[in-house]
Amino acid sequence: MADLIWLHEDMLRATHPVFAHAGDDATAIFIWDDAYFDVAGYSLKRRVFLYETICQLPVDVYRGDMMALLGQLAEAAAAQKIYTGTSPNPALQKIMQELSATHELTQIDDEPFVTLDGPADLKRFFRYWNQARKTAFDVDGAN
Amino acid sequence: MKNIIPTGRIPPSDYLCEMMEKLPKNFADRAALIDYVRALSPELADAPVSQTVGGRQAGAARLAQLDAQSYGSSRNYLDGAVSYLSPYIRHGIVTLNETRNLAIQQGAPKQVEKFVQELAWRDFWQRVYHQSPAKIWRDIEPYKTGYSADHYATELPEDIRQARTPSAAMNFFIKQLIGTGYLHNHARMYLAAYIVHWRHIAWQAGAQFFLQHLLDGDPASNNLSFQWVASTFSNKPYFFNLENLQKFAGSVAPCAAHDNVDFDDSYDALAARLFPHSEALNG
Repeated sequence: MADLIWLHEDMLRATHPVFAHAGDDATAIFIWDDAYFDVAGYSLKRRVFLYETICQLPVDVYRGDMMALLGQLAEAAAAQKIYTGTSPNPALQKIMQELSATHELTQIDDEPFVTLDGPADLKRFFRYWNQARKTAFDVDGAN
Repeated sequence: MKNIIPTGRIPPSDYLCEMMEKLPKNFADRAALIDYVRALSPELADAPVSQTVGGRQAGAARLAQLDAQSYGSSRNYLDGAVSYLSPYIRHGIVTLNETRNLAIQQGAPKQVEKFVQELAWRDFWQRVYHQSPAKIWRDIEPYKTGYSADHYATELPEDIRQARTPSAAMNFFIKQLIGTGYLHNHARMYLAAYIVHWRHIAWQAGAQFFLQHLLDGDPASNNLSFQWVASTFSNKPYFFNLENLQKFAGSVAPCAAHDNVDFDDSYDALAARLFPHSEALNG
């Protein structure tokens, strides 16, 4: 039995915190989902860029429907847990929600850019910037 | 092509179901990899491929070339010291955090402020996206152009798709977008403004076109920037004139007046022409 790390397109590096959370014995996978790319409208340029990227990552690459393959791979690996990175992308969030119904899914945030001392004010950029600038010039965005 | 797999982790396993289609990761060279991806996407087989190379190695090489101070003084020029990190940041290959950590080593906060602020824009867009994914394709606010949303056409015209507009500079940007998957931020603003304000095309159609071709295309940064230009996520529309275009793009793009007549006017005159129903823009 090994836990799975599902790398998606928003987290394509071997130093993403998901690897530390999952541990060394987890198996990392990336699903090459043509239909997902088609819906996103990705050009050949982007697909080549992504493929070059995943070739440098410690992942197995499988081709097919993301949701279906994740379930099959978790079953084949008898995975107790699936780890992945958070994403604002509704398509990825939908898959995560469905996976959560049948598997123990843990979503890991990427390293933060800044540390805010309250809720982010997102009405306009410069309102947000006035909050963010307090730690934006600090290493790791933390005082 | 080198296939770098960090040590210390169990290699991807063999026990996973062999019936699934597992894709190769080792290729003789970049051309072989490109051929393989073309074969995976036969409907795109004739499409161009960018010279920009994917992967952490290429991203780290870009990061090593960062000049955050020069960025501050030259970023608005199309030949300025921009980082070209955006495709890598878009896909998490390089992080905002490590980029900032490097930038603040290159100068005092005031000297690297513009670059760090640019990183913050990306963080801002992502936070808006996280908070309200549905806003990405909807007008966050009404247009402030004097026109309502239904004034704008929903389809991108063929002359824009094919870089055959009346403007040589816009055609140059469109060709660059399609051919390389990259556009300088200022060029994106010019082209987005041209699409929305000169051609009266809904920002969504322009955003979809950009997302299709940009290597760094991200629904948050791309669409919300388009909304900023359109005025559905800003207090007023962004537009430009020929003088501005020539100043910032003239060293790179064909900006002669006779090839870009639509922009050859004062800001007041352009505002009157582009936004005739807006009192706020024609005060």
